[in-house]
Amino acid sequence: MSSSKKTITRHRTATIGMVVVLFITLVVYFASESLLRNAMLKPIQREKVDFAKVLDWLPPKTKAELEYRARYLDLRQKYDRSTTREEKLQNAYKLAVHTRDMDEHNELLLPFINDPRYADLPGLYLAYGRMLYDPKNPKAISIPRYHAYLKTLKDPLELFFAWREGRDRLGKLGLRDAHIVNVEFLKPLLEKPLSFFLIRDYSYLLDNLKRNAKRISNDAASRIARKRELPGDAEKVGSMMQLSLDAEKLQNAVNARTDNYSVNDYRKLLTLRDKYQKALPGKETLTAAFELVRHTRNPAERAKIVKTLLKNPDYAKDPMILKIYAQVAGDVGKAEAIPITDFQKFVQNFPDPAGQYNGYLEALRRLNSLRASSEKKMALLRPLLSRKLKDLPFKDYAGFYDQISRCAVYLNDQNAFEQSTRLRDALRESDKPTLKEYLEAKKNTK
Amino acid sequence: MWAIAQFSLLKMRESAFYLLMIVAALICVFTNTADPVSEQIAKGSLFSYAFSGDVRTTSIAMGSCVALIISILIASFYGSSEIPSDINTGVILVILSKPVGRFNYLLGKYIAIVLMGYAIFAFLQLVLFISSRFLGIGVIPYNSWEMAVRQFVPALILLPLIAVNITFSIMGGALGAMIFTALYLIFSIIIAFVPLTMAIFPEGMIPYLDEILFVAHYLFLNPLFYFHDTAAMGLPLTALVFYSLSTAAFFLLTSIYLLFTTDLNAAQ
Repeated sequence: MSSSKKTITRHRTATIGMVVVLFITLVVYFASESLLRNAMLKPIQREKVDFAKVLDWLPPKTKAELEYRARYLDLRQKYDRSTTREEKLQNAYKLAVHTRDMDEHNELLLPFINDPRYADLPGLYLAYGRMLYDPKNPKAISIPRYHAYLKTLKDPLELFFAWREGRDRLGKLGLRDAHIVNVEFLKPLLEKPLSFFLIRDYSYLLDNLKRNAKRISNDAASRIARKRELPGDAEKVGSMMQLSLDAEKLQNAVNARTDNYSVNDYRKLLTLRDKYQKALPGKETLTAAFELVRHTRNPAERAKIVKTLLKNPDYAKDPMILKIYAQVAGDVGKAEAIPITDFQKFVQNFPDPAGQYNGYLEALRRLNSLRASSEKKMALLRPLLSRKLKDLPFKDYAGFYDQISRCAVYLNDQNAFEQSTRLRDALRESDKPTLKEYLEAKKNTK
Repeated sequence: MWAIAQFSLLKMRESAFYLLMIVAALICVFTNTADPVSEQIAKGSLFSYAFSGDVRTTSIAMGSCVALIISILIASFYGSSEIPSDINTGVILVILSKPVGRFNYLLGKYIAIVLMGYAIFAFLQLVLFISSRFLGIGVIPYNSWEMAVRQFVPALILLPLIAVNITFSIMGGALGAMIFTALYLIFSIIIAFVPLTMAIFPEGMIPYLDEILFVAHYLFLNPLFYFHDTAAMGLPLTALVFYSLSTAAFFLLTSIYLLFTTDLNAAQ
């Protein structure tokens, strides 16, 4: 009796023991599994995952289908989680490009076009471009509507992107009469003034217009020659050829402009403007101003920056101002530019002789970088001719006189040539220090 | 318990076993001339995520992978037949009639097979070390402790796998154990990719099924943990040891339950 009781107790203890061990085992299992899983998955950055590579081991058809679905879900989730209007537009556009469902495509993009709340949204051209003209899309927008949208844009870069996006979209539609549609789309560019083409890259759109208009003209002429004339062909031959010539003329004018920018240069200009606006007073402002003044192709903007800086007495004494001011040397003869005489006066009155020399040197470098004419170089350096030998502190000025003599030969200026060569030779033979020696001596005196 | 383990280990003293070891060693040495697994996988592929994290660790040599496969195969062969042969021959009744409980019997068998599995793996590692150090064979030189430890981390998988094998051997006999263990391992490898693909792909990739698969992945051992770079050191390595022990413990508990509920006279 007692033995069977003991056995029952032992069995019960063993059962309880097993349950406890099982419980502990499960707790340890779930905890360790979770830790290991998290450690394994932590380094994965979903944004950087390339679905195509991940699914590379699958058969092509399955891979394509799964890749489409993965990308679709990813874009859909990004779109659903968008918080700002800009984000929503970007993600809607990406999803619309990816989806195979035309209704979903239209549902994603049409609100941006029809809702006036989005009218001022940067990058809206993406939605307009995507909805442009497509004959397969019943809800596509017409070219005149796209033109009406273009008229609402103010920012030159945004405007250029909108033109480019429209043209690129038309190119991707695979239209049989793509050249005719392209001409219809790009024709309004010919009505724009030259100042409109601040972005140099319009040139390729004009080139496209030129070639397509010529093609329409040639096609019409060919039909007439083969006696298969269509209504309006006779007018087309002339009008389209004229359009092509006009486009070519405008394209040449755009290319010849020196005050327009490539897209990258314009972006850099915007960055530099922003940097200058946000720069802290002191060295940072001067450095940002120098970069901006050198990059901008607008003499008025350059002049405004220089004048603003000169109002500050600390900046006016800083040697850096000479480098900034020297950039106006390239503006000789341009409207709204600072007169070169102002720069020359400023340099001559600058307290440090080394600074004076560097001011001229920087201005000359600027002119050389712009491949300026001898006339302009002479205009910059002419005041040096009135200097006397004793007023010239360094031998290095001989370089300027050498430059003047060469410009004088080109300009057939006998007086300037004689004066400059005399001063150059005198300087070379004199015992005056070089700039380097002067600066070293100055350093030692300190 | 030790006596039972010793009794089982004695079976290793066969000339065929030694011959098998020589062949295994030669295979390991030759395969070690191939690039490590992690370097054979294209960057950005699914398998690269399965093996490598963002931490730079020593690679697992190809020879070590082969050594592990050989250890698993031999341990499975022995593990599958140990308890079923005792039941079939009635030896188990003789042993259990002695002052040895079912728990001690099972643990003894488990320890014997684990020791055997690790002894084979350690022997093959020693061969790889010697061939690398003195004969210059192998892509990755065995020149640091870190390297040696890294090769042994995947071998932790022997702990749960042998327990799984023993459980299946009690349930389905020797042949059943081999088949079920192989199937379990294959399913485990497939299911191990579930959490990984869920992390890589957006939610809802396979509607409804991903939740079911995620729950199902708890039922299978995750072999990827043993090969992933993040589990090569620190806290994840400790977690891996606990993971292996807890999984092994779960299957051993199941085995004990089966030993208590199975009619051991049935075979006779």
